[in-house]
Amino acid sequence: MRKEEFLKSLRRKLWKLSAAEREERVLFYSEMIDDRMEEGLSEAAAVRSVGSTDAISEEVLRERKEKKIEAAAERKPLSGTNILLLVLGFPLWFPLLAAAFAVAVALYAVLVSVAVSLWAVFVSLVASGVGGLVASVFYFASGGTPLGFALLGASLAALGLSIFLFFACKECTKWTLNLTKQAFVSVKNRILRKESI
Amino acid sequence: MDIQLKRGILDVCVLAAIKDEESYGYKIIKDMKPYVEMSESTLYTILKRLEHQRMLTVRTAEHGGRLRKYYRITRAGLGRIEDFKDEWREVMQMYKFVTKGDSYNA
Repeated sequence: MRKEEFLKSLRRKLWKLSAAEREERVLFYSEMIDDRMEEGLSEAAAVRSVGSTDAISEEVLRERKEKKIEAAAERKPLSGTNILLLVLGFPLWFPLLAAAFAVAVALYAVLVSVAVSLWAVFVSLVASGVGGLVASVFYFASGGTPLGFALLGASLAALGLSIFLFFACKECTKWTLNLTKQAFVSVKNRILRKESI
Repeated sequence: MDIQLKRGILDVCVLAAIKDEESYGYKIIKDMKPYVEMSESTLYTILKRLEHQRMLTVRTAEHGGRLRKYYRITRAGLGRIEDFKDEWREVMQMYKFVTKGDSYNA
C-alpha cells in the first residue's frame, strides 16, 4: 500500500476522533513511515511495518474507553466552591427541582388514571352485558321478543367487547407497574451510586 | 503482567530513551528494540501521556524537507526515572528472596 493510501484509510477509520486528535495521529504515523523509508525501507515495507489501519483504529478506540473509565473512577468529591454555589443557589434550583418533581408525579397520575378508567369501562361493560342478558330473559318471558333480541344482541356485544378490553387492561396495568418499578430502581441506583463515592 | 504496571514501566522506558539527548519517535522505538518491543500506537499514547504530565517537551523541526517532532526530557521526567530505579531496587531484593534456592538462576 502506498503511504497516502494508508493515511487516507487511517483518517477514515479514526472518524470518531476530533479533527485535531485525528490529524495529530495521522501526522505521527506519517512521520514514522517517512523515518523508516529514510532507513532504506521501501514505501510498501515501511507502511506494512507500521501496522494495519484496522489494528490502529481498534487500539485507539480501546484507549478512549479506558480513559473514560479512568476518568469516571476518579470522580472527585464536591469542591468547596461547588458546595458554596449549591447553597447560595438553593432558592433558584430547589423550586425548579420541586416543580419538575411535581410534573413527574402529575404525569404518573395521568398514566395510572388511564389504567383505572380502562378497568372501570371494563367493569361497566361486563355489568351491563350481564344485566342486559338477565333483562332479555325477562323480555322473552313476557313476550316482547324483538326487544328481547335487541337486548340480547347488545348484551352479547358488550360482553364480547369486554373480553378484548380485558386484555388491553391487563397490558396497560402491567406496563404501568413496570414503569413504576423501573422509576424506583433508577432512583435507588442514583442514590446508592452517590453514596459509594 | 498487570497492564497498569506494564504501562507505568513502559512510560519510564520511553523517558530513559530520551534522558541523555532529545530524540524522535522512530529512534525511540529503535533504541528500545533490543530490550523491549513497542508498537507505534503504544508509543504515541505514552508520549501524549508524558507530555500531559510535563515529563517531556515537544518541538517540531524541519528535517530533510519534512517536519519531525523531537521529544526532550524535563526535570520532572528525570525525577520519575530516579523514583523508578529506587522502587525497583526494592523489587529486585524481593525477587532475589523469591528465587533464592531455585536450582537454576533465571
